[in-house]
Amino acid sequence: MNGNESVRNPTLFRNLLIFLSVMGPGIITANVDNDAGGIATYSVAGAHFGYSMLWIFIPMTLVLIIIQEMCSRMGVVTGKGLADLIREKFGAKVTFYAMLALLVSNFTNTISEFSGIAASCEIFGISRYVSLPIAAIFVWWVVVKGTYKSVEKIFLAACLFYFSYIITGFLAHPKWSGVLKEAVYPTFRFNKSFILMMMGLVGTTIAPWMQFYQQSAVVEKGINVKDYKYARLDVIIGGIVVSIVAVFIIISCAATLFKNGIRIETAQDAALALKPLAGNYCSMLFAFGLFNASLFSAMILPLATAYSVCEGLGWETGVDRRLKEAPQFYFLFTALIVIGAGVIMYPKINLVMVMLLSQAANSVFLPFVLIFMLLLINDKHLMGQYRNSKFFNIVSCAAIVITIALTIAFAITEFL
Amino acid sequence: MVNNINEAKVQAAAMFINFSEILKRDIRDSDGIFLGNVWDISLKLGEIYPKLNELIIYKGSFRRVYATLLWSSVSNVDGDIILNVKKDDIKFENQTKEYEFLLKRDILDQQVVDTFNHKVRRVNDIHLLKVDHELVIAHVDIGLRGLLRRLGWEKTVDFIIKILAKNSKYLKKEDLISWKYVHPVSVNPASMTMKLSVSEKQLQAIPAADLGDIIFDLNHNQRMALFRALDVKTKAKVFENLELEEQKAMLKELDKKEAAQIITYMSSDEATDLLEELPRNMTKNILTLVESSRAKKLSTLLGYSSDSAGGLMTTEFVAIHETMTVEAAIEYIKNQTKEFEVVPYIYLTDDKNHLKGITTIRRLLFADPKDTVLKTAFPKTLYVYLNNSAKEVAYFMEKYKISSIPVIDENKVLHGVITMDDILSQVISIAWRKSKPKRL
Repeated sequence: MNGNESVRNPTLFRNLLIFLSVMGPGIITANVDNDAGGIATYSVAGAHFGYSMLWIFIPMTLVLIIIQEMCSRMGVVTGKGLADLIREKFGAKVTFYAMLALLVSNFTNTISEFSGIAASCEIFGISRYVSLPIAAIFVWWVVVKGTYKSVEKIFLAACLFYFSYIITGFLAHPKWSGVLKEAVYPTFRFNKSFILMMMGLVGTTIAPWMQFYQQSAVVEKGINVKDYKYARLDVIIGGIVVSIVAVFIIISCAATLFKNGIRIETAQDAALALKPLAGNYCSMLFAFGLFNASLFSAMILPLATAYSVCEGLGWETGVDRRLKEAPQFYFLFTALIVIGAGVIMYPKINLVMVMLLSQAANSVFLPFVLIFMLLLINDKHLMGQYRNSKFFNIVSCAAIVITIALTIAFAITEFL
Repeated sequence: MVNNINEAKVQAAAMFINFSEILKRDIRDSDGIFLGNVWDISLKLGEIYPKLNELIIYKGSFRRVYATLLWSSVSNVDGDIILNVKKDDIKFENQTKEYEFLLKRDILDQQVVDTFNHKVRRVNDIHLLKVDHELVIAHVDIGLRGLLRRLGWEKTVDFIIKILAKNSKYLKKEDLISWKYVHPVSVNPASMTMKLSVSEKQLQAIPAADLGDIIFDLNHNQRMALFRALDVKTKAKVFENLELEEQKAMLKELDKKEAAQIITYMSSDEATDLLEELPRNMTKNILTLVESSRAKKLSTLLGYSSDSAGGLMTTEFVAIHETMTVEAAIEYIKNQTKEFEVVPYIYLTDDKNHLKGITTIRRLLFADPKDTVLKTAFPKTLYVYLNNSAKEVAYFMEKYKISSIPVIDENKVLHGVITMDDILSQVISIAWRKSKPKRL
């Protein structure tokens, strides 16, 4: 369809330029994945099980990339968000309940992000009654007043701050030979706490909002089908980067807390416990990483939720609309932030419970999203030549079945 | 279009059936034997309010079979759908035919363009009107009530609201768009064109700026299909109203020939602004396809810096020879076939295209028809030079309160004209640094 020769003449430099222009959705989505809940789970995994969980990240990264690649492909080929596609294929009723589920699961996630903000600021001696209102206003302001491009730049900058975890990993002076060995040789222990932890890792790494956000971001960016291979690279890099960061969080906790037999419950515990063991710097960096991740995710989650829900139910969406034109969108977006931050201000709130609740909500909803996705991506009418190949279908089905089984098992054991 | 159906129209409301309700009904044959349910319905296209054409029945959930019947074999739609044929006469098959356009697949839950309010909406339900024994599409429902009906909560919510607030707006208002104003945007996956084009006229009637917004509310397949459905003049107008980034995104999807066609019809200053932003070899490719006289003009304009008078000016204006009579001049202007951006001013030149004076249509009309046009010219000829900056031009135009100004070179040769809106958009973009539309 296109006669632009410049694109057909691939050189390294040109490829790089195109990649840089397409890059964003995959890397951002993957990094938001290392949010407050993620960091807490990884810290606990490192503190309680040492390096023995590292191997999980190899298959998990693969599954994450497979799932996110499908979203990215659907976005590029159809030009529609996941909520749009669900509405158009499965009708109003299914969409409404799916959106309700998304709203509930993302709401609990948003609360957990704000709890991350509160916890990390408290490490620096800032009361949550100061940090939370400021964070809430900041999040609202950036998204409402920013443009897609400026917001994306802020997001990409936030992704860079995740390197603080890699530095923490080095500061903790781990035994690298042990790390390497455990990353390659799978260890498995048949006890409840080990299995629970493993499920927790999967549950927090593959969350339903990611599929909705990634697809919308790809659509919003207007990536062309012929640039698709770059979008795929974006997803792959995102998946690998996110796992590296997660691995370093585990390493820093394993090399210090696990070695000294310290038990923790939250990321805040981890940051505080790092202080005497790995030094003030390390602890501060860890807390800063938590703050960055929580703030970053608190920006994306309410936005992605408001978008998907309005998209699916046929209401006007977008921050370029005025309040009068898109009242439902602004209401949802604002309510998620205000209530999310408000809940954490309640003094008797149990943060561990919030975290577990958000993971449970994710795991209940995830199977449905994955099934919708499989049905959509195999729709000939919709995807044409870009539908899943048989091989890819078998791989993705297997990935999805395992994910579903693990998340359901996780949800069940968590509440027994 | 939003209709307020008031009490008096309640009677009329009984004439309407919601498509979502038809989808739920059982289909029975003339003996009352259960046949299946409604899979979808095809339309008799070509009329403003199309009639239903064929009913597609499905049966079974795992091994689904389908049958297609003409709508004329439906004898009753109140309650169950009763057919006037017998079960044994209906042939079920494993697959449906390939249909071009179906009500459920292509309208229900899909996005459509509301050509009355100039917006993209999602369809919650479809209103069918009973006319004799046939059903005709009347409206699409885009409101909350339609959505609640789909969820099966309409009656419950109605009941609660009746108790709480009897005179609530919700009960009286229905958000309906008359089918006349509905432009479906479902795209044929094979040809990548719009499936239906009945309301194209309505579409062309939308102001180009709104049409640009609508196009960017659609996904890129629909966007291109809708864009292709427009005639080339409308395409050019829509294009002129887009932001540069949006223009570039659209150009990527068009082939060179289409692009050249659009650029031919755009005003030369807008076209130059766009071409300037494209990679050099792409500009060259497009220009080779643009008709030669125009290509020459555009490439000259491309030589000027974009914030100088040369870069801002358009080369479409009315210039006539200074020795022409008023009579002949008026006749000449009348016969101008092309639309010109600058109408009120007429520029007077000599054999070598030197600017000699400026006049207006008004001045020509009130002058002696036998006079030469130069006699009607303003006493003072105002102009700017090619290399004057946008700021200088703006200042000059403001000072003399004129809506357009000729641009000349150092030898007084007339090259183009700058209009108020060219300079305005330039000044505004300097002042605001053009903020891009914000989405996700």
